Amino acid sequence: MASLSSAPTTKDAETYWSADADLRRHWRVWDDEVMVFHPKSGETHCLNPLAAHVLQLLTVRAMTTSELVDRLRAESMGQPTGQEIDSLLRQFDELGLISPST
Amino acid sequence: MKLGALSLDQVRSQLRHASVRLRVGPFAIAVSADDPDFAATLHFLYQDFPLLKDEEPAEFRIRVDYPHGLRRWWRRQVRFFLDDTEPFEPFPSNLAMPFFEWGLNWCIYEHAHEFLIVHAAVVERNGRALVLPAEPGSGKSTLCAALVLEGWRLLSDEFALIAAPDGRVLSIPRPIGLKERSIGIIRALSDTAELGPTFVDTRKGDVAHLRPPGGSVRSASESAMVGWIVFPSYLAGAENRLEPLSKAAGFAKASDDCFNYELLGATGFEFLASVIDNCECFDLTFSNLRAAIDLIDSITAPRSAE
Repeated sequence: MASLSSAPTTKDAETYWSADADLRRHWRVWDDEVMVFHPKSGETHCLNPLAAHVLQLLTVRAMTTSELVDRLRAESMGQPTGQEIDSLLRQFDELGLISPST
Repeated sequence: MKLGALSLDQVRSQLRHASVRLRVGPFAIAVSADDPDFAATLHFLYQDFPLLKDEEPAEFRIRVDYPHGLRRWWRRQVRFFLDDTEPFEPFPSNLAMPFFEWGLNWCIYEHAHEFLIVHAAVVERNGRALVLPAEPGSGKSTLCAALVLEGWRLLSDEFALIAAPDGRVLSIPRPIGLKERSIGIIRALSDTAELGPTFVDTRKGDVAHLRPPGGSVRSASESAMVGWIVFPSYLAGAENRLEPLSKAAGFAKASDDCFNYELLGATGFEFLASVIDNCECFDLTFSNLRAAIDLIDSITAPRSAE
């Protein structure tokens, strides 16, 4: 089982990020926790609802930090700040769950 | 035909000149050995296991053998072979049966990757399985033996085998290995406990095996839906308590107790997740066996309709 940790990044706030749609093939929602298997790394990750939702959005289309913040606020997923979402994206990036989209 | 239908002399002769071929849960094994004590213990512990038909191939061909030359007489040792492979250093010759049991465990967890293999005891009652994953020393086998003596069906003392994403576990009801104080505790627990000989001073201390009940062996082809995963932990002097775990925490702990979760990748995830989808998970800390059984009964007893 892998754990999330923060890592420095050189990506800017307007980078478009996307996640492999394969992530949704091995996905379980149990109460308020989500377990996901990442086929490329062979790692299994346990996500909170916000992290799971962000990852799911990025499997549908590439988005920037600010787009994600707007979307989450519109969906009443709390009031996440750009800094919080940036931090989450950095962790996803380090784990290989997302990549910058060209 | 069962092994017990053969006389001990027949078993000794087959072990010495050919092999005894047994169906052990989903596995077909052939074992040969030139040791009358080993033959007697195998005949006792595996008496209810069916013999393979002539045309059935054995996937594990095991030989429990003795070195020739001086070693045959001086500090006599026993060796374990799977086909022509000798995966372990020799053991003292009086430990042939524990060596065979540990060696068969190795055969399964090293080779049977068509299954997700969780290091766990498994018992079943009223059609629902209780899985007890744990590290050595956690009291898993003692608890398993006690539950079996209380009437639970034995599916396994060592492995929860998951073969499909259907939430079920297979049965491989081999003898239950008991160590040290557990041997006396289980003997005292029930007059019906049938234990083989005690092997002293093994690498795991004194060891004896509880013979699996005939009913469990006869039902070995029946898998069971998992109802509960309980992670036992024996701790001397501790308060006996059973605490619910979230499914995600249960998944994380159970995957840590797998032999081949990482090896199987997405298949392992789906097999284990299918079990977790349909069961409840708990942590059990206990210092008293009776109290542990009562706590397990409190979550597994059939609930009457409201």
